[in-house]
Amino acid sequence: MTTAGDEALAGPGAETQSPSLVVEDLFVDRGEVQVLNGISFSAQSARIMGVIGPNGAGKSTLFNTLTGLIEARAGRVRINGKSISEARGQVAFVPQRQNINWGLPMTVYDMVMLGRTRQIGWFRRPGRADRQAVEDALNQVWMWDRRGSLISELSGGQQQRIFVARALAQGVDVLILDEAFRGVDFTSQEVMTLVLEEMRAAGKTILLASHNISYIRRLTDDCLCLNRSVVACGHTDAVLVPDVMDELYRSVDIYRAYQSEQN
Amino acid sequence: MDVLADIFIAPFQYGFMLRALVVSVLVGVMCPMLGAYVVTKGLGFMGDALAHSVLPGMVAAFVIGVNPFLGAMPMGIVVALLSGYLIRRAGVSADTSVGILFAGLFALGVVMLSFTRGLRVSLEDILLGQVLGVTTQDVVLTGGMAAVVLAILFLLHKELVFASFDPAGASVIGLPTQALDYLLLALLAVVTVLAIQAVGIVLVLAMLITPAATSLLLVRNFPKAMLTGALLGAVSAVAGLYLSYHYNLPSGPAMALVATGIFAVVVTVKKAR
Repeated sequence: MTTAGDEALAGPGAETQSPSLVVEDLFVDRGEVQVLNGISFSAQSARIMGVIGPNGAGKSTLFNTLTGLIEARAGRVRINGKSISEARGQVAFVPQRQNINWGLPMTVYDMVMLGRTRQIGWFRRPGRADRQAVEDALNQVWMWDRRGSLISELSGGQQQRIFVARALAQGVDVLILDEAFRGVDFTSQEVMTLVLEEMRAAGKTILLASHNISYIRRLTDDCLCLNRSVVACGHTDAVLVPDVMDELYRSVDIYRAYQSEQN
Repeated sequence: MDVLADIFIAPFQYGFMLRALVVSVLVGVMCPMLGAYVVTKGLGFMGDALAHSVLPGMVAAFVIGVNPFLGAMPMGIVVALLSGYLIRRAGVSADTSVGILFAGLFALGVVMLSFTRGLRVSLEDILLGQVLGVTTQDVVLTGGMAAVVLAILFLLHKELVFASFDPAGASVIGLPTQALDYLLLALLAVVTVLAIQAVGIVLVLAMLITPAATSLLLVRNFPKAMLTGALLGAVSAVAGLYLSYHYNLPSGPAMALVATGIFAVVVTVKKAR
């Protein structure tokens, strides 16, 4: 860890609110490989935290752990004061690559309604509140007009918007997006950026992994620099400095892109 | 009118035809409802293999003199859950391990059957179905199990669809996806065993996946595809039964041929457009 991260953590604003997501000394293995080696950080509500790092840095592993898809070997996670298993279903997740069964015909509307599964409850059918939540979510991502289309007929960016809409309909406090904007069309990226800004204004906690440093700089309040362990974490402006980026990416291509952007 | 009555009503003056009709319709409705999941999840091989693997259970039931499905049902559920476990285990190829297990069990069943020459059991009836021979007990058993299967599919519809469409997403939202997977496999075992009565072990797939695959070509909405499949399945079963009666055909293959014929027509019409 560098001192840049520690200084940034102590920056203004970080201590004014109790964090909604706290990760302490988290160790996660993938098979024989230790992917996350004792990482600690916290994220605040009403803020967007970027998560950056080279490929294989453990971003997806971190997200899969926070959403309960894989189990940590050791460490402590608190999501609004609850453990991961207690908070299951209270975190919305838009993963990098959707592992979807495309053969199953699913309309946009029904897909977003899946996000309401927990609120609807076992053995029950959607009620008025659920239908309203789905309509609101689809309007928010500008896809209400396409509610009758099949998911498989949409473009990649539109599909990603539907996943964001499902997360919105879920009505949770914590939203995690893993490279959700990679390769999507311009409109979809702009729409999802607006949605994230609205969610931040509504007091949600948002974690967003991206390789696009200029996008991270533009959108996020805080930034977690991850490479198996925490390289730095703090206000985005304080963290995205050459020393940290150098340590994070060493000689990786993305860093060159970052440098050319500086010039 | 008399001709129509001869074709459509006369067969059911016989009790065995009436019982066969009830079982055929129940199987024809149930199979595609579950088959919609089987087709979209690619579980066809699993259904086929399950049907083969319950043979030892059926033969054991014959030997101790109870309804063969009382032996096949628990055996099918155990094998389905066991293979679900094998599929989940990393490093073991699902197709291979499931295939080895099922081929071995089927062989065991055939060998067991060769020791039971005193019994009035024909391997051909088990392999190809003999719905004309179902007893009143079979009808009651099939009706009861059909009610349970359809109730579960209805009550857990949104959970089963979510877990089938997006397993990771369902897990993140807090659904017990592993339990739902096992439930689907157990339902598959039950439905497969019941379908053996109508179409036999070898042709179970004809009822399980053919009408469901046809309806998925016709309908773009999963619940509607389940219902359309049920209609096509029931039509195939009943039409097969009539063909069997009037032309003295084996009933299981007749049903399978009708289901396959409908599929072929739908594919041809869709391609032509």
